[in-house]
Amino acid sequence: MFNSLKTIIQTYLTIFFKLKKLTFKLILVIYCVFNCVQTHAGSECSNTRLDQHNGPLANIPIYDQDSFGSCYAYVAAQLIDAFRVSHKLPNPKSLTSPVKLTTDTMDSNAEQGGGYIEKAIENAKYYGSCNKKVTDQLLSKLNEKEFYAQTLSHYRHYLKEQERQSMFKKLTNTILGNDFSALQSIRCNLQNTGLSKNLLPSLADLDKIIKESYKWENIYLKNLISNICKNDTLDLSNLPNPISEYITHKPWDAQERANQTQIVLNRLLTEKNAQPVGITFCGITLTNPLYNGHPYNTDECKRHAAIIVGSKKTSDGSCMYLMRNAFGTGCELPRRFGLECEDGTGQIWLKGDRIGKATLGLTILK
Amino acid sequence: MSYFFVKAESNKKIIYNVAGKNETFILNVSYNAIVSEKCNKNRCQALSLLEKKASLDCSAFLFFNDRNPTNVICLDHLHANIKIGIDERGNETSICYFNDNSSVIADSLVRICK
Repeated sequence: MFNSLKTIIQTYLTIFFKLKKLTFKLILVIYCVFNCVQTHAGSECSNTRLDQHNGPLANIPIYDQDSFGSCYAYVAAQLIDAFRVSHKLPNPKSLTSPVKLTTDTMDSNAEQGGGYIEKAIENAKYYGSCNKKVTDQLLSKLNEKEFYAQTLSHYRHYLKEQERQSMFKKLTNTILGNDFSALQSIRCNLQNTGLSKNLLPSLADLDKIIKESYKWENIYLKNLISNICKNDTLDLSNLPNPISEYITHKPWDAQERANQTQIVLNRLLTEKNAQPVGITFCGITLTNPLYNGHPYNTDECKRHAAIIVGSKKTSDGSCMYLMRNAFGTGCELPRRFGLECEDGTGQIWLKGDRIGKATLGLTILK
Repeated sequence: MSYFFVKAESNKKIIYNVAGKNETFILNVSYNAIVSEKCNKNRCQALSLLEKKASLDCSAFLFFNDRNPTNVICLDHLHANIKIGIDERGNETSICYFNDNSSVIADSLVRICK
C-alpha cells in the first residue's frame, strides 16, 4: 500500500519485458501511467493541520503519558478517537482510555512498557474501549507507575498469603478462614486512589480476577482494569483494521527511506477525510539532529511512537511535519534540543528528511 | 472547538484540575516558569530549585522514548511527586510537587540539566 513511485515503476518494467504481445505491452503502459499519476498525486507537501478547525484531532486534547512506557497506547487511543469523531461514530465525547489499551496489549509475561500501535488498536476492537475519565479517576492520586507498582505489590502479597495458608493447612489440617483480609487490603488500595465506590470491584470480583490471573501479573492488571471499566465500555468492533507498514526488513538506504516516508505522509495527510498518522520511529532523532538513521534496530534507536498531525512547506521548498507526543503541553524540553515547538500544545515541527530517516513504520485507520 | 492553550501572560492565573480539584498557578515572570500560586508571594522549594540551573547530568535519560524525561527528573532525582494537571481545554501536563506543597510545571525542570 505504501509503495513508492520507484517501486511501482520497477514492478511494471519487470512485467513489461516478460510480455510478448505488443497489445498487452500497450495496455500495461497506459495502466502504469494511470497508477503512477494516482500514486504521485497528493505526494507534494501542503499546509495541513488535522488538529485545528474541524480536523479529526481538533477536539482531542494533548495527553501526558507521565512516567510509563505506553507511548504506543496513547497514539492508538488518539487515532481511534480521531476516526470516531470524523466518521460520526457513537459517543464521540467518551475518549478512549490509553491505560486500558496498555493493559489489554501487555503480553502475558512481558514487562509493562513498549508495544505496537496496531496491536493496541486491534485489542481495542476486540475488548472495547473504556471511558478515559474512569481510568483518570483511578490514577488521580497516583501516577501510572505508582499505581501499577502498588497494585502488583498487593497482588503478590495476596499470592504469598495463599501459599502460606495452603502450607499451613497441609501441616496442621486446620480449616482456615478465606483470604478476606488480603482481598480487602487490595480493595482499600484501589479506593485510596480516589476511585468512586460504584467502580470498585466487589470482593468476589477481586477473588475471581486473581484466580484467573494466578502468577500472571499483566493478566491481573488487565482483568482489574476491565472490571473497573465494565459499566463504561464502548463497542469498537466496527472500527476498520489498522493499516501498518514496517520497513525495517527492506534494504537500508536512509535517504530512500526519508523520501518514501514523506511521499506517503503527504498523500495520507491530504486525502479525503484524512486521518492523523501514527509513526513509530527512533526517538534519538529528536535529541540528536545528526542522527542519519543508523542504527535502527538497537537500543540506541530509542524506539518511540507519536502522531503526525500536519505539514507545512518551508521557504526552501522542503517539508516539515507537525508531531504530537504524549509529553504534555510544555516546550522547554523540545527547545533545549533546538526543536521548533508550538506554545501551548507542545507539538513539534520536524524537517521531513530528519523524521523520514528515523521512521520505522506508519499506522493509520481508514 | 479546537484545543488551543491560553498562553500564560505575566501574573495571569492558570487553573489546572489536579486529582479532581482546581488549583491555581501563575506565570512567575522572573523565573519564566509556571508555579503554584503560593510561590508568587513566598519563597518556595520550586523556585529555589529553578535557581540551580545546569547542575544535573541528565545525559542518561534525557531523550524521547519511554518515560517523560522531565518526570524522571522530578521523581528519580528530586524525589518529588508528579501529578497530572488538566487545563480548561482538557490538555494534560505533568506538575512536580515538592514537600512544602509548592509545585512547578515539570517541563521547566529541564533547565536544571547540564
